[in-house]
Amino acid sequence: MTTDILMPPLSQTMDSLVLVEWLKKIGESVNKGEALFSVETDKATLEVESPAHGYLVEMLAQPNDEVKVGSIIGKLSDSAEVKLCEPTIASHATMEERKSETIPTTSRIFISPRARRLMQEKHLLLDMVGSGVQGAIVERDVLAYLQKHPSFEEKGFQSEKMGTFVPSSGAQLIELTPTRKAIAQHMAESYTPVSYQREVDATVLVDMRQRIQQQLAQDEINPSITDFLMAFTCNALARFPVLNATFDGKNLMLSEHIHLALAIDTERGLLAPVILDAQLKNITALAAAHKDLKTHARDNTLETQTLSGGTFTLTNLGALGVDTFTPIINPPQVAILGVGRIRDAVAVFDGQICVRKVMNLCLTCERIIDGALAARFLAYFAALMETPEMLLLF
Amino acid sequence: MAKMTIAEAIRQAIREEMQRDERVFCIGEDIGIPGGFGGAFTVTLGLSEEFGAERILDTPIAEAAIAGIAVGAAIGGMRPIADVQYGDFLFNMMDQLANEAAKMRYMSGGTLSVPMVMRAPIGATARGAQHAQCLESFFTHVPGLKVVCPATAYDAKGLLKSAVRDDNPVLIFEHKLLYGSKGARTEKGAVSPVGEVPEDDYTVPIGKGIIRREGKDVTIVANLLMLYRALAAAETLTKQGIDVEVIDPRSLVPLDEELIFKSVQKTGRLILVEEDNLTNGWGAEIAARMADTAFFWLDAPIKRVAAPDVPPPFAPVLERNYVPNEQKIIDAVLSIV
Repeated sequence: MTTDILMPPLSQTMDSLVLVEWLKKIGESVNKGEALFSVETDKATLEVESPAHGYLVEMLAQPNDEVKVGSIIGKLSDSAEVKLCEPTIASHATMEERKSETIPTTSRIFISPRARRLMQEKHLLLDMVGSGVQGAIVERDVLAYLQKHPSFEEKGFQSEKMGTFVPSSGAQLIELTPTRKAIAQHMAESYTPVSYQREVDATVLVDMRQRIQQQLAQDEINPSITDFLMAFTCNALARFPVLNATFDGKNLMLSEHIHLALAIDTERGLLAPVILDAQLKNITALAAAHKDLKTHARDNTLETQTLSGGTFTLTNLGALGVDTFTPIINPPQVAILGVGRIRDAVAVFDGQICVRKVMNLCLTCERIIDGALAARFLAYFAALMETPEMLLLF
Repeated sequence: MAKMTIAEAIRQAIREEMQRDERVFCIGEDIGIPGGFGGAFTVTLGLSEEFGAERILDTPIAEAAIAGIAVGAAIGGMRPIADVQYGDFLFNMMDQLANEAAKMRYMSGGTLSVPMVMRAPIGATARGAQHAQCLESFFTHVPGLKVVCPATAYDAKGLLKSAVRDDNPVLIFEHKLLYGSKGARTEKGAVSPVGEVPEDDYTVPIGKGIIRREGKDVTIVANLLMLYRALAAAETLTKQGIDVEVIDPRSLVPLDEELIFKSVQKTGRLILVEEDNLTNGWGAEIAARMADTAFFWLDAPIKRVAAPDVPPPFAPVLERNYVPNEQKIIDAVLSIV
């Protein structure tokens, strides 16, 4: 059975749209809901999800073709000759590396028995480029893949350990989108970290932010609490550079740049787009970048590359009413800072019992980070919050 | 330790076995005539003077008779070492070898045994289609026969001694270009490996192959002359960063399957090189066995390099193209790495 792939009506003003690129190759399998091709509208370039499970067997439209909305641009079949690789999030990265001379002349993908054995050992079910006879995936291709993706070598998918899940009657099966799969995989890869938590007095910060808001009420950009927290994060990371790093299971790589990932709740799920070189930005610039990311996240127009390359992540669940939680590291980063709700609490301040604004800081670190270092980082971060004037020193 | 050619090493082995066991004797054409070559390739040179015409038996040109006498003598308790001038003549002996020698032990329920050795020179050496074939594969197909193919002087002596002492018929295939025959019997284009051969009594077990060159990228199994071409190809391929392992099977029946399996397990690639015609050669058998047992270790298709399915040509130009050479082996390797 074949399914037609139609040009979707993505624009309210345009009758035809431009096909930017196919994200799958002929013969490659695709899951329903997985990105299949991208389209340029008057507003943005959008990735379009596959309408069904199957194999891409026909491309009727080519990149840069202007195609009428509703017309058939390609076909999916549920019975391609091939059923070798389930596509994963890795397929985009490897597709870029495809060299024309190594692409098999037929649509079949061959895997040598030896390579297949290795892939099974490593729990790999990947679409990768073959360099063997007839374009077959051979052992060296798998080894090269593992070398580039050390996290697979260390942990694999761990699917065997999970066992079989039998849903109770009435359970609803949710098909995982690629984004969801990527999130789950990232979460699973980070299974040994430790969390540290402390309370911090946010009264001064809240007060200061309110005063600034009043002063700059006419300005387009008005920094939020999160924007201040981003600035504190950059400042604290400069003081504790070991937390601004990536760890591949063997090597800890400290980054000179602070590429700050910011967790954002979207319809697609939790995303952590990255603000590059955040250490070079002042609070207003951070606020502007933050606003930009939120807009793109809402419009589903985040570029794939902004979702990777982060060196540290900040996540704020305060707006959703959470006081304290265990943030989960965004691999290969080594740490993530979570902040909770700012709430009124009875506290002792200056020897008096009074009501203060308090907040929880939750720092999760890979085990290679010492607890004392994590504690010092939190203490310094708390000091910045309680005495934000310290930023004037930098 | 003495340095010997293969012809000298076999001669030494025959001498030692004849000295050790009076039941051992040689039978063949022109192997002991006064002033002769000592067989077609000088192997038995001088032995008739040493042991007399009783134990170095010259026969008329009647191969079926040689084989019949050898089989009968072996059943009767002797240990004959029979000889043909050219392996191609084994076809004249086929009934004696395939129907009698191979089956007597089985048919008699183990009452009889046929401890004979059948030596046969093989290989294309500008002598035309009926004096140039490689015949190992014919005999690997007959249950009851052992088939060995020594490629070095050390193995030639050790394997011949094992063959003489074996209670089953053993065919020894010797390559004309590897003998190192001297004088009037010098072969043009010979490789003639000279190797150290211990003077003491030793045997090389039948059924054990040997790794002649260790490597990690491709396994080549090659016997006799092809072993040397494979080693040369391996040397050339080193310059391209390809690390070839070369296995000398030494014995085709029984086959050292374990050695080949372990090598394929390491390299993931297998090439069989034989001088015989391609179809149904021993290389095909090894390919089939490895496709069976080593399938999940293979990283590329198994390749065979062999002569085309035509008789060995007489014209030197054609013969050079017929016999697998270094370049053909290199091409096969490059097609799968």
